[in-house]
Amino acid sequence: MMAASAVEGVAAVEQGTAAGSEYLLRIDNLVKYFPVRAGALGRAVNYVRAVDGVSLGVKSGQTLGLVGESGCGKTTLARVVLCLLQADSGSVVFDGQDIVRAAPDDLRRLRRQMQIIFQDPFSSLNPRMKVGSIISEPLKIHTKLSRPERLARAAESLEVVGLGPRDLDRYPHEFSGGQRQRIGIARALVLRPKLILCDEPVSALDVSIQSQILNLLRQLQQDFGLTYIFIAHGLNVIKHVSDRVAVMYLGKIVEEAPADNVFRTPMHPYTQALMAAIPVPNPAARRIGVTLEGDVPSPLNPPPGCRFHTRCAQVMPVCSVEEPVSCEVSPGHRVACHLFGDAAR
Amino acid sequence: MAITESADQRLLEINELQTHFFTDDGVLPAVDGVSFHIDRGETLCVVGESGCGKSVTAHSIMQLVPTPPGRYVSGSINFEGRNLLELTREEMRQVRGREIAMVFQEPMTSLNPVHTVGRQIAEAVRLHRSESKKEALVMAEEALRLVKVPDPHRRVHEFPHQLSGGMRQRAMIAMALSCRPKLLIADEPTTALDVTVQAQILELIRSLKAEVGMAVMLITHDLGVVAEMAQRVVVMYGGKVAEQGTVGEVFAEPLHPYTRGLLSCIPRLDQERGELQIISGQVPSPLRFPTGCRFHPRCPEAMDICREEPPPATSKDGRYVACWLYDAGQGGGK
Repeated sequence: MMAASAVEGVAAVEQGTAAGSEYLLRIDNLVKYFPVRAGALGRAVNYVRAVDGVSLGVKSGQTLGLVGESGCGKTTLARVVLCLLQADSGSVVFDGQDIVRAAPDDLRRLRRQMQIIFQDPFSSLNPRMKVGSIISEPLKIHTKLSRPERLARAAESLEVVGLGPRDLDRYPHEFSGGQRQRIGIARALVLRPKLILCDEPVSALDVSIQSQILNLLRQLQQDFGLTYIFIAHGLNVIKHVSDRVAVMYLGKIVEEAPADNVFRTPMHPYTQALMAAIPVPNPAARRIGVTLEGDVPSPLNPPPGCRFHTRCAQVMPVCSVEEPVSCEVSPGHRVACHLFGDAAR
Repeated sequence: MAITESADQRLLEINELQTHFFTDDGVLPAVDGVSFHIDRGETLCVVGESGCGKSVTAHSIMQLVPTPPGRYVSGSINFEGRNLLELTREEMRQVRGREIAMVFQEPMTSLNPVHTVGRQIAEAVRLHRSESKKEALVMAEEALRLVKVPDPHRRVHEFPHQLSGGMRQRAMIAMALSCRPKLLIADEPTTALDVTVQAQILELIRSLKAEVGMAVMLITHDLGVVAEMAQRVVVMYGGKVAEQGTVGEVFAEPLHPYTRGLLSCIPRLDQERGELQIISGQVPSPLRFPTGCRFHPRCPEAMDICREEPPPATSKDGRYVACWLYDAGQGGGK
């Protein structure tokens, strides 16, 4: 069953390429399990199926929003893509090269092209390093530039994010949360990467600062042709930044579509429930649709069949037996749910 | 919905409260002349960013502010006719938990990891009622059932780490409600939770509120949560109340430039992608609040007077706003 969904995933990706659009990143049937070890020998007794057969494509210059409850595997997926974690199987093709099987030297070269912006601007900057050193450190690893050259590049990068060269000699604690996040962005930009993974970049910030950072990220995307993978639990933020949105549930993609489709016409019952849970900043608006009961089941023992069937309002007998296959319900809109699987077959 | 003036309706009234912190770096006027009230059975949302004084206000009501370095400099907090700031320690202990209960943001850190959930709820019960341990544990189980924790009979004997985040927050609410308080203060109760769980918890607070008949003071930075939960809204900025009114008024016609900025800078689902409106500048630190109106460095409508003098509280058509824009024309009363 899993194989079937993988094959379709590949097919979809191939179609996309045939249509003349360029994929910077193609993820195919990616799997990452974490062993749970027990006993004196530390044998793996079980596995956390954090990412379990995910296929996705991200086009150059676009933003893919990753959505899902905590523990659904979105951060693991992102880290496997950046090679911060080693995949168990599947492939991640970045710029034409499979990074899962890349040699260490090639990997280092590829890594220049992908950077990450972390959630917490307080713990992601070394408090004992000056801003100049923080931002120029990637250059030290990846280039042969001299220190003055590196600092010049760091200053450039700082200016791009709205800070100035005078900030090079200051320490992180002298900055506010929003400014620190700008420093984190400057560090991500200094190598001129193609892909930036934004892992909850605004959720630790005040509301009035969030919009400043979102506008900055948008501006940078236009100026440098960046491709983003954007993780956020604020769905309004995802809607605002994303071209396409992938909804994850317990290590699987349940729905993937252009952002507008996901928010206007969500198809998967899980996506629908997720959308219904968003509080709307309008007192006249009433909550419509069902809210989900209970919590996400443990990824240690995901439910058989469709993993969402234990919480699904439209569950059918087949759901607990057979895993739904991802199918295209409208152009570019893929859903893995038995409600649509039968019609498509 | 209607704000009645009858004293009977008033549950809590805060008058010109000033809670300052006296540190080595200087005085932090965290709460600096805050006045608002909560009526019986109503939901009041307090909105603001970090350092605006919303949590310190809540902690002042519960008198949980560490003194020193904090000090209740002036003002009063009247709860059912008694000024909480004048109560003795013992009297305050009777109010806390029984009359006013509080739920915090981090459900992991606010539960004790070495005691079972049931024991912690039972402890709250036994502090205020003379129940035996056994009876208290039964009440704890009942409380868990009330907040819709599945399988309460088993959960009562479990430790906090065995519960999910949403379930821990439910347990916290169960503990807070175990003595049927008249006022529940919830300080960012859903910020650490997923949207789906947030929706569950908000729904729970709403239904319990109706069931128990308590008033709720909900502190949040999420305007979506405000719109969904509040009857009235207090917007705070820089240790002061910028604006307050019913939720309909504040969302339909925000008066203070800060409220307007907040409402327009959040990305909305019904909006096309594009440049977001912003509030420029940084959230001020309480150590270095600007002179005059504390919002003036970020305010698009700042005038000369804003830089020099703090705006007086003005009431405009029965609404409260602290902004110079409304003072001149209205001849506003203080």
